[in-house]
Amino acid sequence: MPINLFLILFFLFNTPSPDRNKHKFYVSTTLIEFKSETKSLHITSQIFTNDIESVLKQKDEDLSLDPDSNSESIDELIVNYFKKTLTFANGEKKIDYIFLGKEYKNDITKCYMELKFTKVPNKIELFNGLFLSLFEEQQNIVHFKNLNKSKSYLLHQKKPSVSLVLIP
Amino acid sequence: MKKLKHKLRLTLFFTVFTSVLLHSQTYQGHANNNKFKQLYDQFADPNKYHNASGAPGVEYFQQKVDYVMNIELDDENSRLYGEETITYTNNSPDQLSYLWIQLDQNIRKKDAPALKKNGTSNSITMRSFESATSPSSFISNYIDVPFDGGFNVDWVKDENGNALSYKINQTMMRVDLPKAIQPGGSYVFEIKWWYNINNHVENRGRSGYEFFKEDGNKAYVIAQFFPRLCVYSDVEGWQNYQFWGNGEFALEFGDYEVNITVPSDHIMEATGKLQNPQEVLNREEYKRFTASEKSFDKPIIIINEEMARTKEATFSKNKNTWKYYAKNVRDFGFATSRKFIWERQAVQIGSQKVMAVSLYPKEGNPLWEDYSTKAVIQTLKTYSKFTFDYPYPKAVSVHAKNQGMEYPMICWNYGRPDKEGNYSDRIKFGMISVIIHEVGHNFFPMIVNSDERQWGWMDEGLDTFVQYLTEQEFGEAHPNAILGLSAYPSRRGTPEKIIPYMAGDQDFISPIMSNPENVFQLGPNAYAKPATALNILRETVMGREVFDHAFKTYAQRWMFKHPTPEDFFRTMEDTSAIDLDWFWRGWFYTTDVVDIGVKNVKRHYYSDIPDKNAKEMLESLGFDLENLPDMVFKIDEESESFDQKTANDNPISNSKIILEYLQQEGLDRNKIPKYFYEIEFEKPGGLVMPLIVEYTYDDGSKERVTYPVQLWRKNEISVKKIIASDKELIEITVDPDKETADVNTDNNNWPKIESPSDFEKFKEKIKG
Repeated sequence: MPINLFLILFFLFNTPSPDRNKHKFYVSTTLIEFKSETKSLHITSQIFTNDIESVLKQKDEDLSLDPDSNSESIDELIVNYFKKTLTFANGEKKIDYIFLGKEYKNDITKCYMELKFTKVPNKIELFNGLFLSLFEEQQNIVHFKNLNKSKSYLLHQKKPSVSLVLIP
Repeated sequence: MKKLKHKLRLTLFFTVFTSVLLHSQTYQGHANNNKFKQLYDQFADPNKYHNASGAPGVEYFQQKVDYVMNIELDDENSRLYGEETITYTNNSPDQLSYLWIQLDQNIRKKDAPALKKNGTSNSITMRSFESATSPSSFISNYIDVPFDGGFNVDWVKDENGNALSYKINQTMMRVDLPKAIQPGGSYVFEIKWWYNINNHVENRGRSGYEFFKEDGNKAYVIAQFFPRLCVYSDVEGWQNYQFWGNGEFALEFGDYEVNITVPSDHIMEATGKLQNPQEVLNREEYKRFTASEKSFDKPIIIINEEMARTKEATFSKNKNTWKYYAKNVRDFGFATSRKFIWERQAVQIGSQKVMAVSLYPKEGNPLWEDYSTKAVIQTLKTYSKFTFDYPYPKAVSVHAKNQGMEYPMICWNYGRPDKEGNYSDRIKFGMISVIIHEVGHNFFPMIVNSDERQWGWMDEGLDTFVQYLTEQEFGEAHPNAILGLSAYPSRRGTPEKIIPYMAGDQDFISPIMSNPENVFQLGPNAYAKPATALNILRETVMGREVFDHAFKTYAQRWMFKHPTPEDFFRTMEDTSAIDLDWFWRGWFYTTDVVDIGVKNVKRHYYSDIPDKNAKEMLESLGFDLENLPDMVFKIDEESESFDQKTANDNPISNSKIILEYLQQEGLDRNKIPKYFYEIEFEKPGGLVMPLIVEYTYDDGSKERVTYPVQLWRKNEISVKKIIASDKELIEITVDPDKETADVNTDNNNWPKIESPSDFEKFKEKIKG
């Protein structure tokens, strides 16, 4: 089968599996705080270490996290993964951010990122595709805080993006 | 003090009255929306079966279903064959002309409607953004021949061998009886069936086999493997909710006699007591098996890794039949393989000796030999303490890849080291926690037998709650297991852990009181939130002693019976003399959140002379300002009349009325507190909760006050409290120990504290 057809087919169909295992819940939480005084976004993503490990194992079967088998290459893989799957854009234009680092807490990995604007747009598009490629049921919770107002979103396969208003 | 009180009240009266005046033109009525409204609108009425105190009623009944089964495993072809004789005893007051039987394996039929139900996120198309999605799942979905699962029912007969008519509807089968079963009567019938066993690692599911390509063996964990009677109760009649995959099981209690035939080199564990160990074990194995029953201090290994390796290679063509008997269980499961290492240890629980058992392939070591049996023992001890003494003769933890699933006396659990045998803390704690959780399910719902098909939280939530208590006690009992940590790192149970879920997008949150098939996030909905709610109820609302008594009463009232949500709610109130309707309504029937804060703090003193606001109000009410009756006015910091010097001097020196009164009563004016504050607390969140406040004074002293939840009865937006003190108030903190799951702590302090976020802390850390 030509590769293109293969991918198209894959995108069109999806069969849920019956009688799923229990105790497996696929969820991440990302807190995004807009700081108008520094024209920046403070981004904290909490993900299950098992999930990020599974994703990275697709690139390197032998790696393991917490403790990291090779912290330099793992950090690089995590940064690459985030930059592809958690993105911000002003219209069509992607806005890059700095990946500050990660820390482990129990079975959670916390990832910290900072996005600095040169000029603050009125709104930005957040795309959160974390683990959507891995789990059909993945749900990504986003809490967005602007001044003292908080708003929450649940993103998933069908709706992986949301528009965040910076200047109301 | 009567007179003074009266006057002070008069002052307050004005404040309230103004707001009434402003809104007095509204005549739009409304129903009772009070957060403390009685829960009668949600509850089923109490009756003879489930009484108003939350206990089984005088005419409570329950059916009994006994099974005698002969099962045979075809290891080579991964098939399971069975013949079962069912004795159905009708304890209901009703005549039953048909019986409903669950065929849960039918969810794996090629044409099962469950395959066409939408996924959790309502996804219709899979759009891969990383395109890293595995081609293997594509192939299994669209290219491979679909798995040919589901029951093949050969026949259904009565005890004399006459065929009975039956009708299969998806995962259920109705057997029509020639004559109705009378109340008190019983009926015996037989079913013969077989099915293809699925690979649970590849095709998922709560049971099946894992294939080990290195040695060619399969490890089976088998459940939902035989046609099982549906529950017939006063609540649902026949349980008629199909098995769609998420909602688990509703089952009757009965006695099981089960004979399972497998290759003779297999080692097995199952629900019930093994009746013929001498027949299925060799002499040495049998010796260790018997010795383990007296080993209270450490496990005895009946089959060690070396023996398991030998068995792995034999592929015997001979067969063994393992015979089990289980009394008063609601289900039956078993695990069998050549690969199993097997260890048993005795534990004393009350007056009864229980065997704690672990069964695992060598791939689970060294993790499993280190922790499995320890986790089983801790679970039996802690759960028994909070409910009742574990009544079954054993509890078995079986290692199966990716599994976490429970059956009476036996469960499957994940947690596997890498190929070199290394494991991280995350793998270790994940494994210990899942064992505690699944062994804990023996109590909820295997014994306190709620209807899982209808209410996931009644077993998952209660189990996750006691799991949390058990994990904490495991940490205390095994300090070496949590080396470097102050307590066992429980993933669920503490209030702050539920905040990200409860603060989430309301469109995707369901009340706990929802059917498990219909919720978006089953984990937080049925496990974490009810567990956290119970933890908060215990620690913050009821207190440990009162809660523990109530919880234990519920467990004991309903052991080996079928409780409903109301039975739980009512028992907790009935045994504690605490009305909790507000708590159940808020936490279980709505998706409201806790957000309580301090809005405003105003210092004030008292004066006989009204300030501008008071004057305007008095005039509007028709008072003659030149000729006021005795009245005292509160002059606060925001008033134009406020004088700092007076406030600092003495808060009543400006009120002759109060001074005269004190003199009359012979009281010392210098004993009047120096500082008066009016503090306004606000409640933007929908949930009512006790208001826990820490006041800090200028001498560094702290005072903790818990205002009862009833504080919010008449005004749930905001309330005011007066603090009178000789010391200057410098800080107020709401919920200082973070025990209420407050979703927004920005308003929890006065003066406002800009506490650094995790982000800021991390940034600071990497700088240094």
